[in-house]
Amino acid sequence: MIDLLQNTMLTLAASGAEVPVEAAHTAVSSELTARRVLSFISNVGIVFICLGMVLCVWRVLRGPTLIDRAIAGDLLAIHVVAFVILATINFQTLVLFDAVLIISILGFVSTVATAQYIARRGTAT
Amino acid sequence: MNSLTTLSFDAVLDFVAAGLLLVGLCFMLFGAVGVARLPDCYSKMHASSKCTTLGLTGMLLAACLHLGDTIVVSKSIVTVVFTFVAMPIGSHLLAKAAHHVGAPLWSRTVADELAEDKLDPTKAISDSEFGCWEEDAIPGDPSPTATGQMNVGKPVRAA
Repeated sequence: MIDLLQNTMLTLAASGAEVPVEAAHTAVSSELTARRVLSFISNVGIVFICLGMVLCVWRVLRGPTLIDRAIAGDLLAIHVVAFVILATINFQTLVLFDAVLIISILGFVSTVATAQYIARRGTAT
Repeated sequence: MNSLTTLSFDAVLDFVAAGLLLVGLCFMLFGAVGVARLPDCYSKMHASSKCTTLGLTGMLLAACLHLGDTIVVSKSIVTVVFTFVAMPIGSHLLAKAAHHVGAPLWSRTVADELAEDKLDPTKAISDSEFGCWEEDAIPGDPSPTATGQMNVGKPVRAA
């Protein structure tokens, strides 16, 4: 939208017509505000996700039983997925988005493998 | 020209995406706090699976609305469907394994109906899914595991 408006203004300026600066400013400002709000929330979200990762790693290291460690490791994989989504929104790029599905599949497979291992091992600690 | 209205369509989409992103991030943080603070591995599982599905869905919806690309939307749909199928399966397997190996319950747990049903011989519930397979059997062992069948009804404990 902003690019379209910029092209229109440039065409108007090149053709020598009078550029409607006020109207264009009103139209662009709401979009810039929305983009700023989204970027602020995704910057705050990086802090949230890092806090969640620290809590998960703490639970992995401390967890009294193996089940707690498995749950925390699964949630850690989901936090990595969330971090990739935040990077996609922040950097406006699509190259990272393939990692979302792959990391969630890896997290599910590792959860299932850990559950089978714990059940076959026979003890919870 | 549409761009001369005060609130453009892209701005509305970005505002909605920001709200969804905030909701998803709050769910992710609540899930992490729940896994870190809840007393029991079963209640940890509850916090993890519920907050993960909702948080990831909100964040993927925000990415869809903000980027608005066909690739992003299709991959997000596939990821959401996979998460909603896989997360209950993983949690169920972990809960079964936890109950099988006797993970400690919270001291204020009200009921454990699966343990009661396992003791009831008329219900015929066994741990056969996690039984001992053929490759675990000791050679020359006359027990039923040596014949290639599963060790039904006898939980395998570590030596």
